Amino acid sequence: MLLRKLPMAVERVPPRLLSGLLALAVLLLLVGSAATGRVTLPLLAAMGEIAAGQSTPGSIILLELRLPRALLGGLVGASLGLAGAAMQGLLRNPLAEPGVVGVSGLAAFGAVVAFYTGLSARFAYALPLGGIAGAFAAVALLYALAGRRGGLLSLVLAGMALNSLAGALTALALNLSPNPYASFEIVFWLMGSLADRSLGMVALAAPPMLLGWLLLARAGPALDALSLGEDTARSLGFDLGRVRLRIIMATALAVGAAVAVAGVIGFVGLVVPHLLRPLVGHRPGRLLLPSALGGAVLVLAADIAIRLLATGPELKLGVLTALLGAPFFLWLVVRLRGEEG
Amino acid sequence: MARRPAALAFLMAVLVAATAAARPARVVSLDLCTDQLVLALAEPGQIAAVSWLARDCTLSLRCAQAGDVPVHYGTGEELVAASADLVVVGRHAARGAVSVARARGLPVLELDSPRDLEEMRAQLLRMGEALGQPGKAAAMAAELDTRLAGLPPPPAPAERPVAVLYQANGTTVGPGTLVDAVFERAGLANLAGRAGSAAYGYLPLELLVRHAPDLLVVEREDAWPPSLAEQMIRHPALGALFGPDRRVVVPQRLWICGGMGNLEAVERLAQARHAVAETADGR
Repeated sequence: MLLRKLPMAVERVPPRLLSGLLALAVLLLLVGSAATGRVTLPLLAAMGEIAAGQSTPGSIILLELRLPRALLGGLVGASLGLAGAAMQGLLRNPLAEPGVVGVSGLAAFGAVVAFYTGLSARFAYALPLGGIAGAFAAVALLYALAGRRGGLLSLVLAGMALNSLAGALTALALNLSPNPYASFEIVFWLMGSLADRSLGMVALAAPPMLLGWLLLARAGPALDALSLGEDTARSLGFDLGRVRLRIIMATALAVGAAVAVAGVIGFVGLVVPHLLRPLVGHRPGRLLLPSALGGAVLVLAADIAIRLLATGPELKLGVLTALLGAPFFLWLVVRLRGEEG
Repeated sequence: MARRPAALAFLMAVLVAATAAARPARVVSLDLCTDQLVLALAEPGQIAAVSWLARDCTLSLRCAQAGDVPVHYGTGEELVAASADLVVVGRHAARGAVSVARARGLPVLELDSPRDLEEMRAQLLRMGEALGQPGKAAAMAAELDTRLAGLPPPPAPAERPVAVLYQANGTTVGPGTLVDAVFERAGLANLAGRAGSAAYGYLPLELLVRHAPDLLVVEREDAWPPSLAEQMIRHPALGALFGPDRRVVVPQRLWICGGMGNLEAVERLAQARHAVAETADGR
């Protein structure tokens, strides 16, 4: 019961208070995101122009550039935070995270195939569907390889192999594209970005993400039961086959759609659930909502930070989350090793 | 008197022989830009090889013609195998192959990237000389002069519409470049120069919308084959600002290199400038 051994130093916070505070932070950061960019934009004036149906540079910047970026920051962050919490519950492994174990990587490969073959130019939904297919294959594979007996090492190693494979497949697909720019775009797919996304992309990615959230929202009790072991969960009346399929599907929907429009943004699903876990008394079911909100907070804040840091072309968002998340991951490995030994 | 035609015929024969002797028979061109000059000026039999890029129709104006001559991939061994008697190349291209050519004592003609139409014209004539085809080059230069002279005069600097070339990944092209010179000839002010950016600068989408130039110049409109870099040019934010009357396509192949394509680029932009000015007057 690894999850129960994690730090207990912080006292439990009332769940509603925690979620309320995080939701407030998300709202503030959404406004902050809309207010941040290359040009200083009088927000209220621009909103007035949008309301009046005027097409001015200010209204175009706010509506077509800032708004989709802020919305996607929230949606993608929530999906990644939620998926991290759900995967850790399902696999009963605190190192499970979509980016670390190759789920995001295979989602990127699926999206790359859909985009560069031109499939998504003819049928727009091919882009999120490609991402979802890749993510689904990865979660299912991981579960088959390392899910049942949840060894820490076997999951991380299987994930590492999957991640390398996904990176190689993505590079291969990009190299095969006849477009000369394609091979340089591996940076976007492996390091993620929310720059210059459009409202059309929000419309493509939001429905599958929301569907994934809905499926996961109802998986809380099952995750709580699973944390007591499969036999206990079964004896509590849960149909584990269906629970697993639901969580795998939901994770694939949320992560696949997120990666299809924003590339791989790593470590969000690792850092956020871990910071919040002690606050919810280590119950995987209760961790879901705060993790989603916390993921949105992290991604929105990181996306604002890279715009404030930017001089030339922007830093990729995944670079910043990896700079924060990778040391955190190492710290976690050292800590868990101490506890296992 | 009967001698004179004979003397003339003899003189002609000597001249022809002299030109033929000066005319290289196995020319290898090492980069896209020299490829196109060679394909335009040399006899097909003179060309030993051009670069593989010459067959790419998005980059090369003479891609069809390049299908009829051998191509190489810019390596030294291909150069040796082609047994060239003249190597032509841009100043910064295929450095490895150029050093192989120099080491073998082959004549190498190196051309800089032209920064304006005058430099382009001079290069055309220089290439004509090197290939032993000065007549062809002079004819092309004359056509260039005539068509440029036929363009309507550009408006006074203060009245010029502002335009910007927006390329893949949000890059622009500013002063000191062929593109800038083409803008100038077409009577357009280049936003990339005004925004104070360097010759090849990055212009974020938000800044482009904020500056809202009169004319958006793109190198292609179709999305095929797809890339994120070019998806940026089709962002809805630009669609909202630049309607069809404020958008003009100048295919990359017209001005990626110096040559007669530049003229077509000037003509297209001058026409678009005229249309923008008309709309502005009509308002």
